[in-house]
Amino acid sequence: MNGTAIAIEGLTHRFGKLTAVDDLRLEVPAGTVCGFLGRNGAGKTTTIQILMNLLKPGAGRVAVLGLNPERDALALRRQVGYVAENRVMYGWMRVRELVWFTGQFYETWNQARVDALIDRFGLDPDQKVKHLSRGMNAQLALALALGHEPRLLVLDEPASGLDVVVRRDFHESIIGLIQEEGRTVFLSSHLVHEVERVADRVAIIEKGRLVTEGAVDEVKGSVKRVTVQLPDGADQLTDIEGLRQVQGEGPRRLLTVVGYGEAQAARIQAQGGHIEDVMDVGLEEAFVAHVRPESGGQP
Amino acid sequence: MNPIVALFWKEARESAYKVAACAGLAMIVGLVFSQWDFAPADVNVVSHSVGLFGAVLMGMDAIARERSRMTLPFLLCRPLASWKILVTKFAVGAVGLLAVLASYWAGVFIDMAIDGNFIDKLGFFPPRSLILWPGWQPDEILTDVGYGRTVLLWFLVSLIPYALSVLVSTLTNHPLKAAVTCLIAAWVAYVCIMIAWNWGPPIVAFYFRLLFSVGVHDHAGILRKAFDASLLFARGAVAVLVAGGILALSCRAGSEQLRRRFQWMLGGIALICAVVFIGLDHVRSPHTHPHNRPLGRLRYETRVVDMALKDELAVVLLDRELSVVDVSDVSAPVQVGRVSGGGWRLERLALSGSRAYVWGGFRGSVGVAIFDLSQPDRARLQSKRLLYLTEKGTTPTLKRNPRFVGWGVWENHLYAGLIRDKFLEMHSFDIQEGGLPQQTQILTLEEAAKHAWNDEWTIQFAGPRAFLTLGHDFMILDLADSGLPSILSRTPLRRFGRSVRYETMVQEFHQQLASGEVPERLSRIQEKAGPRFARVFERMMQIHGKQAYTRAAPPGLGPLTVDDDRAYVERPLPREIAIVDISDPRKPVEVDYLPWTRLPTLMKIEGKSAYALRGRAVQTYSKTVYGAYKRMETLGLNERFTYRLGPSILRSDPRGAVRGRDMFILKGDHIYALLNNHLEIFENPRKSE
Repeated sequence: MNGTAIAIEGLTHRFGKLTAVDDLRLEVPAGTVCGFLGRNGAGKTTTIQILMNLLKPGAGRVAVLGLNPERDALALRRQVGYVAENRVMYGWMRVRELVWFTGQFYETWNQARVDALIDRFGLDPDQKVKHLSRGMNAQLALALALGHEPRLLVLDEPASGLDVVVRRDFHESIIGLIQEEGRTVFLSSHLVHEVERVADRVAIIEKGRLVTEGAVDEVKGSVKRVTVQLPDGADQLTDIEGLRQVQGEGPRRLLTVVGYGEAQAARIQAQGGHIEDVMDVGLEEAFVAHVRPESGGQP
Repeated sequence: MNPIVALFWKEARESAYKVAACAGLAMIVGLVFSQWDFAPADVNVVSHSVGLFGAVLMGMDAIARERSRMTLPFLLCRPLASWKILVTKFAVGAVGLLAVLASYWAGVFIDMAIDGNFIDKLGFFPPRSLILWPGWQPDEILTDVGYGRTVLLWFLVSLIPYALSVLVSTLTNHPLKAAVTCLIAAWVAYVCIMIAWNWGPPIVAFYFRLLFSVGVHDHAGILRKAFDASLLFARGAVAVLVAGGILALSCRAGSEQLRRRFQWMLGGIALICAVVFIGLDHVRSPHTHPHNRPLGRLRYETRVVDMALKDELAVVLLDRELSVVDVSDVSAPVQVGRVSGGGWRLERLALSGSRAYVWGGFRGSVGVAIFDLSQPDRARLQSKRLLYLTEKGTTPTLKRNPRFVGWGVWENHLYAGLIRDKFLEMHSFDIQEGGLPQQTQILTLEEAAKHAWNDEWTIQFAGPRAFLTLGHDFMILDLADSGLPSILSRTPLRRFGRSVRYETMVQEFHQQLASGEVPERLSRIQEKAGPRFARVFERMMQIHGKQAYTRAAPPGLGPLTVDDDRAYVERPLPREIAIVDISDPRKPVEVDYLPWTRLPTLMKIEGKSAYALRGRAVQTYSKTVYGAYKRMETLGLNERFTYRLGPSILRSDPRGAVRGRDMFILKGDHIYALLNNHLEIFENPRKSE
């Protein structure tokens, strides 16, 4: 599949005086698994609700699978699978009933596939939804979201509230399911570590603004840990663009720098610092570095 | 694939328990309320409440419940237009509401079927299949309305509050909030409607009544129309239009973003409506209007009991005294004389010549006291005489002490209606000038116990005639033959045939009493009790008989008033006032009836105006071109009354309990009223009509 699954331009949304999403610009290529990362309250859920036409955008343009969520809401919902943040479903229904109920809304419902998924997740079709464990509930929500063969799957914090083992299983099942079919997945989370295992691309959002976006390796590569030997008597390094954190005491310091490159290296050396080592970081560190406010070089 | 069916299934499953519980409760309410009273009004009034609460309970869950348990996104992200979701939810709730009303009315009908007196209770005839009492055949049918149409009519009326509660449910985030808001909104709407109804232009009131009122009591006339196909259609169309409008509003308001805006908007509208309408009510309220002030007033420190007018004098009976008031200047009534009743408790007053005859008594014994009023400023107690004595050492009983019903004077005779020894009697007394009353004649009219359910007797005296109601009969007595009252006519004013059950019970009871035969249950008790408890058993037997008797008895006619050639008789079933032409007293004919809209029981009618006591005021009415009586001025609320929050129309008696006996007399251009220990004189605001 080619093209853009989600295109957001200049999206702004306010709740009263609070700006939840601020001039957001994002593109998700079709056929990728995109992690949408941000801290709690960063605006992830608001963005997703706008994508699903559960909220109307305050300003800006949104296109999902080339459709306008406001105008073509029904066409859009036929092609998108969505799992809401809290994953609450009708607890009084049995699993079988909920599957039937959901299936009635779609022409393209693939009952065999849902049955297979439920079987694979080990869910009992006669169990009541309210008696399912959290993990099973999440798996059921996923199975239901996939039932109508959506081109795009939007998952809002799908693994929140699950324990580590279940989370890992859950994410692995996502990978397995999706990659074999080449769907687009848009997955929001604040659990960066888990997303790293699944996603091809990530977008990081902070206070409603996009901080960075790109392939996972690009995002990881944009942050470096630099070990610096300070010159005698010097206590700090100043004016280094993208410096987020300084760790360590004495002459040896560990700097975390976003967008580390020639310019920063030259700047360090100009202040007499000796670069001993430059290390790559994991996605989690990269995420933290991106969302952390810029530090002036103070430890 | 059929999302509507799936949604319907889901909604039905979710509300099944609620509907079942509400319907069961409604049926119990129907059974209980139709048991309580004969009055058909009650079943209808309760149906209003059942409809309203049913509507709120069915509507409150619509969206608010999805929102409160956070399943709304799950539903909204399905490819189904949100208006379809809302309409499906609306439809399921409407079915539930229909079920609730259907089971309420089923309760009412079942109860009536068991009791066997449909018409006595409801005023109309249900399907024959529902009649369980085999011997019962109605011999007159008001109108064949039937169960289905009753339920349909009530459903249409309840559809509007239901739509309202669905709207509120889309605006709130919890069903309980929705329910409370909805009840408040219903109250505001009710107040606005009532005010528009009462004080809007007549045409508005007329259409409101036509479209929304369903009470059988209100509309013996309208009732028939209410079930006409065309009117049913009109009501249905209005209900569906209004409900549809509200539903369309709900679809718009359902959007999460518009929700808050709608909350503010609708809350604002409701607040403005409440303020405007209650303000309007305050401004236009008869309680605050200047014409309710009396021209003149005289205050008594004790209970006032009765009043009569003679020329320029008003004679006011106080608890133990008689007061003579000069009312030649209506703006300043002056008490000119006051006489003690010699220790008697005084009850009722009649004037003849220069004498005042007062029914009163002393320690249970009753008699007549005569006051001489030939010199008003020197009125005196001329004589008094106990006519019926309490037996020494015994408790006063009905047998010994007659219950006073009413009295009047014609020429030289005083006529008193009494219940004595279980019989209703007309006693006549010769009151030749100066002498003590001499009992001359007793006319026994009927066994009073036969009408034990009917406590309200009135006898009206007008010239040489006395008018009274007895059971379902309207009676005219002739008093012209001095001291020998005779029955001129006795006319049944029933609208329905007697229930066979009643007749059977009466017969059985008499047979049992006559033969000493006792019901099986009692005979077992008798065997166990043995001779020692014979007297106890006898008493039980009496109680049993009386209970059976009164239970089965249909309500008789109520009080009446008389003018020149018409008598107005209250008839409880269906509640209305029968108008009887009495120009030929030997053959009175019922010529018309007033649907009993607002006229209270004791009223006076003069031409197009009617007057009645209402709380602590005289209420005037004017007959509209549609034949109903519209409330006009309210006369005589004293200054202590202050306007309280809430529309005046929701209060029938703004002053609370009334002491003494309120009454009023129309004379010339004035209304003389005894209101809460005041004598008040008003200008008659309706005199021009």
